[in-house]
Amino acid sequence: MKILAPLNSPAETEMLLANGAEELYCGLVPDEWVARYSGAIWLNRRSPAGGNLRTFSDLGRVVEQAHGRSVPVFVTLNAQTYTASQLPLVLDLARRYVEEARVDGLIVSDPALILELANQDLPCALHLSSIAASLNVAAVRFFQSLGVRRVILPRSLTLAQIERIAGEIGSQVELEVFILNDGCIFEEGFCLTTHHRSVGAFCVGLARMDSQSFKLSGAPWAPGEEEEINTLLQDFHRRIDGLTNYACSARPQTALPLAPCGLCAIPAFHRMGISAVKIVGREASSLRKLASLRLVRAVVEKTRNGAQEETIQAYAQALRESVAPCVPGEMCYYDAGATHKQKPSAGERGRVEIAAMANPELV
Amino acid sequence: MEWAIHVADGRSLEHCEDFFSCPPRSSELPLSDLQAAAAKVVQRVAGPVRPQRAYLGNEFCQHLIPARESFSKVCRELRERGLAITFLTPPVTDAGLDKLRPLFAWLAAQASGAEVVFNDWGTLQVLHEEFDALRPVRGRLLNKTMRDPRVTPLYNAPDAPEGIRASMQPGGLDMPSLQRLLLRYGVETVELDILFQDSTSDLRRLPFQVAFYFPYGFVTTGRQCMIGALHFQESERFRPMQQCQHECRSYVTEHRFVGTTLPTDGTAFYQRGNTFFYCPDTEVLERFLLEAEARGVGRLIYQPDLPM
Repeated sequence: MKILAPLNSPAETEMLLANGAEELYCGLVPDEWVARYSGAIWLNRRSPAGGNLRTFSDLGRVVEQAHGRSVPVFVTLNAQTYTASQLPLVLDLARRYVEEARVDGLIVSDPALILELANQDLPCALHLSSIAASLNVAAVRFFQSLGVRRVILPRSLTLAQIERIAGEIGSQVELEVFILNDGCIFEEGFCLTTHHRSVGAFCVGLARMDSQSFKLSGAPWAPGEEEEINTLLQDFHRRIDGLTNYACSARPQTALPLAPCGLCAIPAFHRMGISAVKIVGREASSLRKLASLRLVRAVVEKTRNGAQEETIQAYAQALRESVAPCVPGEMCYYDAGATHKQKPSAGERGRVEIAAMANPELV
Repeated sequence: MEWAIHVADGRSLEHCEDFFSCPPRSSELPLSDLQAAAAKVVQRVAGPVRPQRAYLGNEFCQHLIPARESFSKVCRELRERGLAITFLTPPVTDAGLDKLRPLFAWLAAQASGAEVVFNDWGTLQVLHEEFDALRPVRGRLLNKTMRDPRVTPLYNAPDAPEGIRASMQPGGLDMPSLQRLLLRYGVETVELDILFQDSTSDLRRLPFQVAFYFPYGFVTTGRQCMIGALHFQESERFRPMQQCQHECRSYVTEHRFVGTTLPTDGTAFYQRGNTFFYCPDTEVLERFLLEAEARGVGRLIYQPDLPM
């Protein structure tokens, strides 16, 4: 099970490699794309500004350094869809990523693009983005038949659902799962909204909209019913806020991320034979990337060293700052380690965290 | 051009005889105005149309997959009314596929050439491998063109940059590789949402029948449902795939995009169950329906209610 880390600058490569990144992924949006489509239409799942490299020479430097340590680099081409008019440029970029910059794989989601890339016969792996929303074994089999080598499973799947997929088809296709940072109340693969700065993410903006609930029957509200629905709506907004606004935040002292995670599930993923655990956040600061990587690596190392599952989960939870309950729908992807949901004291958390960050094995 | 009606789980069977037999609802409901406006447009455009096909099921939530008994009962009733059947299916986990398989088996055994709308590539794979008597239809959730009413009218405006405008066209269907794949899997019909923007695609050039839903388009959906959490304690709410009491059958929430200087300020969204919908204004809807046949639309699917 490899640790997959994000980057958006060649300057981050050495830092990530030295701190335990075993695979790297990034995006590259050249000026040519921006000139044609501005910042409104994204080439991949992140904004051209901030989340991506800009030049092929930058990408080449990242790949050269990574390959120097036998670490593969994957590049995202995972927009929800591409139009026929966009495709020639997208295919040309894909060819240049592979032939010029020598990346090892492309992260894709649009079946039409996958088919077109298969026709190109490029010497690289195709990884299916979570944007393709492969939620079941048959979907994984469908994309495998199109030539996909790895499938990134959506983070909305439960541990049991992932285990079923891994059990039935994990020996035939690589599986990758989300492990840290970012979350959403919606399924990315079926969210057709923009995150463009002119309007912001749809989910986050909901709290600022004028909202009113109705009974479909047209019947009058029962006593307390409308208040109950309004409270639910406020709670819904709070959850979205927790999932999204903490996605890019970190503790000031240590830069440890405050975003949702699946750290407690790492032992289970190891047991299932999951190929890679993915840290999200191409657009994050270098410091936050480093802290995220160390956090994941600390838990992965404990797992590889054969520590007891419960010990690992308790350790993982003690490392995290709980800005919201450590449960699914809040700060937890997979509901592993439920027996340890007792929040550690601040002192206990601080001791574990400082020990982890100062551990010479981690730096 | 074929007209179809969505009857959900059979609640809307009264619409099968007449599109406009919707029982009156409270005038306080924002949807009442939308429904009335859509019905008037259909009357103006098509006259007294009687649907030839009924859609049952739903596209968004696997908790709403019907039980086999109620499913077969509604199917029989629809056939007795002389309606062809299309079964809608949502994105599904393996547990969802386990629930769908017995329904597919029953439907296939009827030898009626029924259609199944797939909104999940795994469902297509299962139909292809196990139920070749059923006719797969690609659902609208697999058309990933951006449809965010906060911006799409602006991105498609005449003064928008050409690259942005072109990006608003339905993606993928005009690519021969995808066409060949869908045809190999037996897909003859593909479905789309009614779009805010005019599509420049010539639908008649596609090797598929193209069907459009109206008047509601979907914006986003997920596996964490707000209203489905109503009966849970606060600490238990919004977990993925939580068992619900089908609260989506009882409530809807309107959200209005406000407080901006954009021309789309004031746009309304409708949240029902795990999904958000939009509804284009009457003028857009009327133009779309008037031009549909000439543009090569093969089927129009009327959803009197927000489809949940």
